[in-house]
Amino acid sequence: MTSALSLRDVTKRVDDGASRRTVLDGVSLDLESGELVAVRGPSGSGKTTLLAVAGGMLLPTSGEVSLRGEPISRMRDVHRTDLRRRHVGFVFQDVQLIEGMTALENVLLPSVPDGLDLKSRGEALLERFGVGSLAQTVARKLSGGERQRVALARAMLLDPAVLLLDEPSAHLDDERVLWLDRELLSLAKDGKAVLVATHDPRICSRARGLSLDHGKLVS
Amino acid sequence: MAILEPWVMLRLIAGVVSLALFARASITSARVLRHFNVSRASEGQLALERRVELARAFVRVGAAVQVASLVLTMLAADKLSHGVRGAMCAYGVFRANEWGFPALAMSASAAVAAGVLLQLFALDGKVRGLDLVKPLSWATLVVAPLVAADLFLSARFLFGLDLGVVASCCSVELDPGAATTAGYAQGPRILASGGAVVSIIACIGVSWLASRRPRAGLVVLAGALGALALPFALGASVLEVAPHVFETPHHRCPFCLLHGDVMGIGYVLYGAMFLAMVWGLGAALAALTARGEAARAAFGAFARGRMRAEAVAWSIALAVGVLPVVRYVIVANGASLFR
Repeated sequence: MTSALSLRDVTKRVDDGASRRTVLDGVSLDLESGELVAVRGPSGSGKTTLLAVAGGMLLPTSGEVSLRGEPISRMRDVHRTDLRRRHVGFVFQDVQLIEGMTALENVLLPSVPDGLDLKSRGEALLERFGVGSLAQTVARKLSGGERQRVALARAMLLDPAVLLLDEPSAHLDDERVLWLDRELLSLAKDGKAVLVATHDPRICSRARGLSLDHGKLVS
Repeated sequence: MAILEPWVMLRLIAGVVSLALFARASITSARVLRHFNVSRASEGQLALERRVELARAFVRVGAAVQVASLVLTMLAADKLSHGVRGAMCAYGVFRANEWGFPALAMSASAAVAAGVLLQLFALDGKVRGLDLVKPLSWATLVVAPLVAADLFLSARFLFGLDLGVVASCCSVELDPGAATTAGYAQGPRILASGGAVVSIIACIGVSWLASRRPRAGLVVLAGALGALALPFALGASVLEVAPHVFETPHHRCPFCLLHGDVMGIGYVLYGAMFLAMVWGLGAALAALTARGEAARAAFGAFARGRMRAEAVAWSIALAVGVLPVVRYVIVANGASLFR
């Protein structure tokens, strides 16, 4: 069976001008549909880079990343972007909402290139994540937790096969962390392949756990 | 100094730009042919794959500039005809020294090759995998020497152009030759015109069919028919179209068709032929090259568009070629120009 997301011997080196640093070192990982995987590790261990490479936003220095069996890391930009947009939902660590837009407008952004009318789905997702009443509120007036949930709704808009979340509990209190934990499990049960990078022990206790240590992935 | 003419400078600059881009891309192409191995995902292989992306951009721009160079060659020669004594059109300019027609022939060859290469890159743009990287590297290395030869010959021609010399006019060189043949309604003209009409109509039919069912065999056949139609069409443009445009049975100059007094009909006629040829040959070559799974998956949509375009371009060429003949027949109440 083809994995929803597969990383094969992925290495990522970055050149800061003076030296060359290995951020990911021979990482291999298979993520199946319906699976929830948590990658843990201290700050600077390479979790964000791992998610960016897995989501096709960064290219590996060596190795291969495949999305639903297609090697996205070796595709031309235009094809990689197209696949990523359709099949990968991403929740960034700093959320990255557009401040001057309403919550709903932010959620609907992924549908803009295809000109799809997904307003009712966007509203339903905001409702599902408990921020339905804030649909018409501009993003800069939302709290950290609310922004996080709007970002999750945006990531889910096109019903992606793979969901990548970078430190999703960073802005949440204990109650919301419990809610998020349940939501992530529920999304996995719905058939999504969910990969979470976190150093928060409060979430993903029931997920398959992996650790990232100096760029190497260990079970 | 002809070199100081704006069109001449533009022509030479275009040649230099194209050659520089092809030369840089050729280095990457040579590396690809030596080291590219798609089954590896090593650091060197991935770095080469990214360099291929840059080379792709270089070749595509270089090829587009090379096609534009042909237009600039024609424009430069046509504009210079006002400055070269005795030249009434680009013919006289190309005849002004021994490098003129070889330079034109090489410009046309390099432009067709570059145009076909652009079609292969257009297919490659639709392919999700790396199936076409090696064939495109070969093609780049084949076209690059043509680009270099074109710049060399064009530079020899344009640098050697003496505006003070008295050149020959097309009516002096071509018309007497036409007038001395026994009559005008003879074999070559009828063969060229008949052959052009039949082969172009056949090509339009097959291209249209191939645009509906883009099978490799049909696409190759459409490209081959286009290549067969071109010499007939060029012959007919000189022996049939030009005399009817000028209403003079012995004026057989294709370069005069570019003039404003005949509404630059030659640009449309030869432009349509060039595009039809490039689209047809490009699609045919793509059919022979698209062997990998990803390339085959992308080929259908690509071939559909190119075959439709080839059919339209040949239709335009046919219509533009037939129009002056029909117009003359109407104006002359059915009398033949050649009697």
